Amino acid sequence: MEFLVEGFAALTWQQIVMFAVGGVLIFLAISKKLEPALLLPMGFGAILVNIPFSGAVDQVMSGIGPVNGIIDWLFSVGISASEAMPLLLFIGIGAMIDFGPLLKNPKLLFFGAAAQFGIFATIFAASGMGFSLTDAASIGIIGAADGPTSILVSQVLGSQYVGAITVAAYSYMALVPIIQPLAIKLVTSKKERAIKMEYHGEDIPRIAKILFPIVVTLIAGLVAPASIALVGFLMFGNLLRECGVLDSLSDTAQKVLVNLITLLLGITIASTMKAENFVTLQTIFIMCLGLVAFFFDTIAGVLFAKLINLFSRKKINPMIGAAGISAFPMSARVVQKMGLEANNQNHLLMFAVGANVSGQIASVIAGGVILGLVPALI
Amino acid sequence: MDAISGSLQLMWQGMVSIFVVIAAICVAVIIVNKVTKRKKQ
Repeated sequence: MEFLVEGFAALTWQQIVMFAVGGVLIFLAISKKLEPALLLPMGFGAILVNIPFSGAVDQVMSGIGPVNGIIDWLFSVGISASEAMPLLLFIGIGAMIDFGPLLKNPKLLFFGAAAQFGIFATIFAASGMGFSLTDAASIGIIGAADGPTSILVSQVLGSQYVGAITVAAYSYMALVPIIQPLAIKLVTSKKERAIKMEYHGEDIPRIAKILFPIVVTLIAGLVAPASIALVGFLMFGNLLRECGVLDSLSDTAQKVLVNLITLLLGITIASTMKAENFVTLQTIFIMCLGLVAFFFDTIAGVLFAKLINLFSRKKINPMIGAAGISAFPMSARVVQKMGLEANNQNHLLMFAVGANVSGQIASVIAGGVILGLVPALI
Repeated sequence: MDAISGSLQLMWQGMVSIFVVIAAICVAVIIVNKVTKRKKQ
C-alpha cells in the first residue's frame, strides 16, 4: 500500500509554490475577474501538471515505460508543432474587430506602430539583465500586449520561458486599466489630457471594408513575410466578418472558435508551467520586464502624439497615442475615461478605438518583424 | 554579436520595419477610401 503515500513523499517545495501560483491565478480570475477565460484554465493547469507523477503530462512509469500525458500532447500538437492554437484564435479576433474607425482615420495607424516601442525597450533591458537575444526577444514581445502573439513568438524562437511570458502577457493585459493611467499621467499635463477632438463620422463603403483585410495581408506579406501567418489569420477572420455572405461562419469564429481555443489554450500553456522550469529567479525578472514593456508602450505612444502635435495645427489629444497598444478594448476605454475626467465634454472613444485596433495590426506585424530579424542577428 | 548590441540593432531595424509596413498600409487605405468614395458619388 506504499503507493498511496508516494505522491506526498515525492512533493518538492517548488511544486508547492506552483500550487500556490495556480491558486493565485484562479483567485485573480474569479475574484478580480482578471482575464478569467485564460487565467483560470492556466491556474488549474499549473496545479494539474505539478502533481508528482501526474498522468496529465508525459512521464516514465516504472515497469511500463514512457507514457504520454494529455497536456503535453496538446502542447506538442497545438502549439509546438504548428502554433495552431494561437493562430486559430486570431481568426476569431479578426472576426470580432470592426476596423471602421481606423478606415475613417488612417493616420491613427501610426499610433499603433509607435506603441510597439515597449517591445524593443524591454528586449534591450532583458539583454542587459543577461538573457540571450532569443529569450530577450521572447520576453520583449510581452509588450505586444497580445497573448497569442506572445505565445507564438516565444514558441517559434524556442524560448524556455513560454509559461512565464504567457502569464505576464495576460496578467498585464488585465491590469491595463491600472498601468496605463499611471504611465499617461507621468508624461502628460491635465491641459494636454483635456485637448478636445472633433469626430466627423461618415459611413465607410462596404467595399472598402472588404478590401481592407486583403490589402493589409498583401502588403504585410510582401514587406514582412514572417508576419504573414499572424496578419493573414487576423485578416481572414475580418474578411469573414465584412464580406456579408458568411455571417454564420463569422458568428462561429467570434463565439464558438474563440471559446473553444481559449478553453484549450489556457490549460495547454500549463504544460510550460512545470515547477522545474517556472520556479526560478528568471520568472520574477520576466514579470518585472513585462511591466516595463507595458509602461514603455504607453509612454512611447503618448510621446509620439506629442511629437506630431509639434508639427500640426489641429492638436491631437496625446492620450490617443497610449491607445495604440493591442489590449482591445481596455486601452480605448481607459483613454475615454481619462479624457472625460480632464474635460467632461471630451469624447475620445472613436479615436481611441481606431488607435486601439491599429495596435492590433501593429502588434502582429511586430511579432512577424521580430521573427524575421532575430535569426539574422544571432 | 553580443545580446546588448543585437538588441539595439533589433530596436532600430524593428521600429523602422514596423513604421514602413504601417505607412504602406496607410497609403493603401487612403487610396482605397478615395476610389470607393468616388465610385459611391
